[in-house]
Amino acid sequence: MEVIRMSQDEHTENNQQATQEPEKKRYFDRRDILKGLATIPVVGFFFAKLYKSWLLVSMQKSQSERLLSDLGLNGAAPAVLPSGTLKKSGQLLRLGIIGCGSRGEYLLRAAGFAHPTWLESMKKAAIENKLDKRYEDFINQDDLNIVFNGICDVFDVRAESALETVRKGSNKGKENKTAKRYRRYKDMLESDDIDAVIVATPEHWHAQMAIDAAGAGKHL
Amino acid sequence: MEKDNSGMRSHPGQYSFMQLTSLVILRLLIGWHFLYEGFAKVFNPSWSAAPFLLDSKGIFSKFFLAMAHNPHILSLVDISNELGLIAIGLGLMTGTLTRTASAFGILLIILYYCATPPFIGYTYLVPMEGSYMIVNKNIIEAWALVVLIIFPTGHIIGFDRLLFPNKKTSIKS
Repeated sequence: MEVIRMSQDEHTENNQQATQEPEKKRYFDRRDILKGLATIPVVGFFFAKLYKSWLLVSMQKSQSERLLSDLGLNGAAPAVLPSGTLKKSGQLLRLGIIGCGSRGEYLLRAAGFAHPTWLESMKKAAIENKLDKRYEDFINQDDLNIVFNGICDVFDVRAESALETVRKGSNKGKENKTAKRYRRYKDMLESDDIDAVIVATPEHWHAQMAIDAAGAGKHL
Repeated sequence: MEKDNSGMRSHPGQYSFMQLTSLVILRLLIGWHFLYEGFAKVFNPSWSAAPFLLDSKGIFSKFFLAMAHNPHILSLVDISNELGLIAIGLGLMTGTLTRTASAFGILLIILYYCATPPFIGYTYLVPMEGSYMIVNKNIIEAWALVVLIIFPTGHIIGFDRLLFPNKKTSIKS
């Protein structure tokens, strides 16, 4: 093992220390202070860099806050509206949905409409497992006072299923026999019995459909 | 400390200059890592240990999941993690209570390791930045801290030299 080499000075100093051992012990010599604080420059360097990183973080934070306030989104909005805050205007909102695939089906359920087959399977699941609250949650969803007057999909299987869903799948047991199926979304947008549409198509269709819906005077 | 006639230090606890330097640098590097991990979490107000704990796998996962599911325990875990990382980091960097800091560092890392062990067949939501099988960077860092406990340097280069002046006489460099 390599052994530390001491300079002549150190050697004599240590010899002196040995002779003055009893009093020297109580005090720190220069060497102790220097070696005791030897890593402080590194700590200082760390905190200098940390300050820089903190400045960057706070700058990014204020930027995003400014962006949110420019967009008028800085007010703390509740993530979920407490039930009861939604007042019913009494006026029925008539909707149409474009795209009845898995996302469309999910959005219909969120609006309070589920296919009878899905309802049946959820009912069964709830009986088998008491912790399964999907059926109960669906039934207890707020009545949004809406109706789907139109569904649009090019795929017949999806369209038929969605039509059945909006006709008799309401969680409040309401039936709607007037719902129509459209093959072209533009035909649905022209219809007078629809106030607003939900777009549940693949993404690349969203912009065009949104523009067309707005052009036809439909809410989105 | 025993000295032989040549003035060379031959005590078994003596480090050569290179040995001491490399051990102190190792201590500084690990301390730096801990310290920044702590501050990075403090700077990010939305940080929480919850996603990490919820992703726990293995035989201890129930313990870590229970931590994540109890909001009181979770906030305690978050705060003690942040403060613990900072305290351990400062301890290692300045050489203050170095061995205690190393021991707590090992404990923390072992907890991280047990929460998300890199065992065969375990996959995590947050992918690891490397490829690990049983041995990962956590376990290596923990073992490096074990080395720092066995080869202490805080009483030579560090505040411990000033805090415990009697200890330095036993091993002095």
